[in-house]
Amino acid sequence: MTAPILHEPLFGIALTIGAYAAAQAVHRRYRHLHPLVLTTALLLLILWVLPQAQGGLAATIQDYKIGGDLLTLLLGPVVVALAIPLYKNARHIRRHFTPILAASAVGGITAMASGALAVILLNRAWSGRPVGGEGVIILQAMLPKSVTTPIAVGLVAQYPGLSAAAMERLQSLEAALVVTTGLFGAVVGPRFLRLLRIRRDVPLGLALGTAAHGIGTATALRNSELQGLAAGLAMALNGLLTSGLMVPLYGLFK
Amino acid sequence: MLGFAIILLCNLLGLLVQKFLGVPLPANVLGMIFLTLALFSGLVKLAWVEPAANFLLRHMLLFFVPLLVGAVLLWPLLRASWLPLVGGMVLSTLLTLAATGAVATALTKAPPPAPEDDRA
Repeated sequence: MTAPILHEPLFGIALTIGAYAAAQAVHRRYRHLHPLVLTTALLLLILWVLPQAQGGLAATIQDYKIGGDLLTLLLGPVVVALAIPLYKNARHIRRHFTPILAASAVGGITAMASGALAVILLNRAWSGRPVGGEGVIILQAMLPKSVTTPIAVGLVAQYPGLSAAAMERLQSLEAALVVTTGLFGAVVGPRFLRLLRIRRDVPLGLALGTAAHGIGTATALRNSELQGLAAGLAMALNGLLTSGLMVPLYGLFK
Repeated sequence: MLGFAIILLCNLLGLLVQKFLGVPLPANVLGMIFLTLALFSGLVKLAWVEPAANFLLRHMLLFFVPLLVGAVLLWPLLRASWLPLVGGMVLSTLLTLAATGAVATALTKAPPPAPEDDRA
């Protein structure tokens, strides 16, 4: 009886925006609960409580995604909109532009290289075999994991030879991995950097923006305005750099 | 609406360049590059696009939350391969923080010897 309603695109859209608005209200009262985590948890709870479609929760989620995917479509314009912080922040901290470019480049390359290397080594230690099968998906997801979610999700869609179902899996894994990276970097980053005696605003902001994208940038912005500007700039620059570096890497996954 | 129109136009332009010139970057990244160039060249005024861009960026998470919900379906993969995933993420994030912070500290340490030039 409920299934026809679940199939309507409006169901997924209304549910997502409703959960997001509710999560924002909760976040205003409980500042330490991230709206991202709240919205996702709330959506999953609702989908779980609903009378299930035939095929259980997995089928209900597939129905939800009919509308949800329409929202995901708007990630394209979101990426284009990143030009605005890039332009504004670049004008604000023009003085340090060369060091910023250099630091972002080193950070961006470190993120990709160390992520790939760690996956290959850990996979070997874990299973005793080189990366293959499901391991490939993890390697593909790990490469652009430090860039902002909308860019990362777009980048993994470009891997050659993905079926529609494989692309959906990879994009979901990417979103989860990028968000986890951002949360980890934003929580651990400031303490870790203090331990390394990195104390000034520009280096702190650049490190947080490069390693932990938007979530790191939000943390940097809470520390100081200059730190936030540097982080926003680093996030945008790393998005561009990683996109460029991905181009030759796609060929490895043919 | 002007802002949304410009942003979508840049996105569309990115798609055209990607499809017809065979540039292997995502259309939206190309669109971002076009809009950045348009802003720096003065072709597009910041005030035209800023409200629309701020709206999209402020509510960014709304647009990828459906992907996160879908990630629950990957539970078997996550359970089987959590070590390379979590280990790779943690190691790589710490290294990235350290490398970026160290390079930025080294390069911005000595303030330029010349007096501040703020005329520009």
